[in-house]
Amino acid sequence: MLDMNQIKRNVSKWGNAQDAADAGAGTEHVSSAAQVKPAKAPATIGASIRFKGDLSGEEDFVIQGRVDGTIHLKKNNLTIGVNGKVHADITASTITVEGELRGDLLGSEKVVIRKTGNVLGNIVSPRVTLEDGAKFKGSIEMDPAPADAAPASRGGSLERPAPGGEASPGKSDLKRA
Amino acid sequence: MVVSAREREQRRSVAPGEDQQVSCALFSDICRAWDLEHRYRILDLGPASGATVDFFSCFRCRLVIQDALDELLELQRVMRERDEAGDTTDLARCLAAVADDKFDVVLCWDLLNFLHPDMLVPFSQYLAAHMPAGGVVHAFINAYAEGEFAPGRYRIESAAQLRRSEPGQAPVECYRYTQPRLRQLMPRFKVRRSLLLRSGMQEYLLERQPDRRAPVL
Repeated sequence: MLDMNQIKRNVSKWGNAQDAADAGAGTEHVSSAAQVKPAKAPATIGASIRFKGDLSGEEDFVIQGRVDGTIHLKKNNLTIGVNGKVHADITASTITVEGELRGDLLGSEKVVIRKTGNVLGNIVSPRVTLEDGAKFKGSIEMDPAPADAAPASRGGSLERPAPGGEASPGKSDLKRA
Repeated sequence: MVVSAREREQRRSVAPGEDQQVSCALFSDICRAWDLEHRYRILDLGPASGATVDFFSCFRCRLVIQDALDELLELQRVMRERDEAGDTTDLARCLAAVADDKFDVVLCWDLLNFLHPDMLVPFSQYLAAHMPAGGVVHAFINAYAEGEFAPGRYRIESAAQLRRSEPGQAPVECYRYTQPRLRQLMPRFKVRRSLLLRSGMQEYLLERQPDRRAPVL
């Protein structure tokens, strides 16, 4: 059921925010309302798009279509959507796979394979999450940092991390058993 | 060893299809002996599990997940139709991720139960070729299954305990290998230890033997 009063309040609020933004344009001191930037929607390759070649960029990216080649988003995140089919080596900050991927993944922050994901390839990343039901064949480098970069307290523990937690090989603080 | 139906029933602590806790003292032994300065290479021949990834993330290692059962069973079916034994070339196709590495630890949970002797021999040779001497295979052999049973999926709950489930898997013929038979079919491995579990499963730790060198003349 529509609440006309709520709609009017929202219209009034949006109008004020727009006014504030307009008033602030061209001046040094802008209001805090105008400083709030809306979250930028990630660029998307739609389900009907097929792309062959090298993809690179500096914004987050969602693939719902088909991509063959390489993908390089050094500081940004990549999501392969449920409908996405990708045959590529990928470099990105966070890589989330919900669809199909054939290729190697280098995630500087983390790699997440959702339960609908199907990956054939090798993963190098400080954190890897594999949801139950996800399909994966390949290798995962645990703690790819060199040995001398590991904390001095590094040791072994026979207890696994807390359930549901992410694998964070580079951040383990372990005591020798 | 003859086991009565009643005893088998007692050993089966859960109904088919239910999750089952599996103690794994020998797997715990592997983890306890872990040299934390060494970078291990681990091969998991079962389906990918987030819990397994989480568990091994505590160690410096390379974890290779192959999920080989379906492809090995298909290869086995084709070989048996042609009345041929499997060979390592065919296995290389099924175990592509294994090709370029040598593994210190191989997790073979449930898999060996379903390999026909004609497949188990080349499979063990292929594994031996991809393991250093002293490398270990951790496996469960269902010593009491009759005919067929469903391959399980394993989650590591702790170093001493796994959880086994059968999420809608179709039953597969089981070969009920005894220890002497395993020794015969896997001559490049020796049984370092084995334990009979309450569920009727036998937990095995098989060690890759050094290759025999030709005598120096």
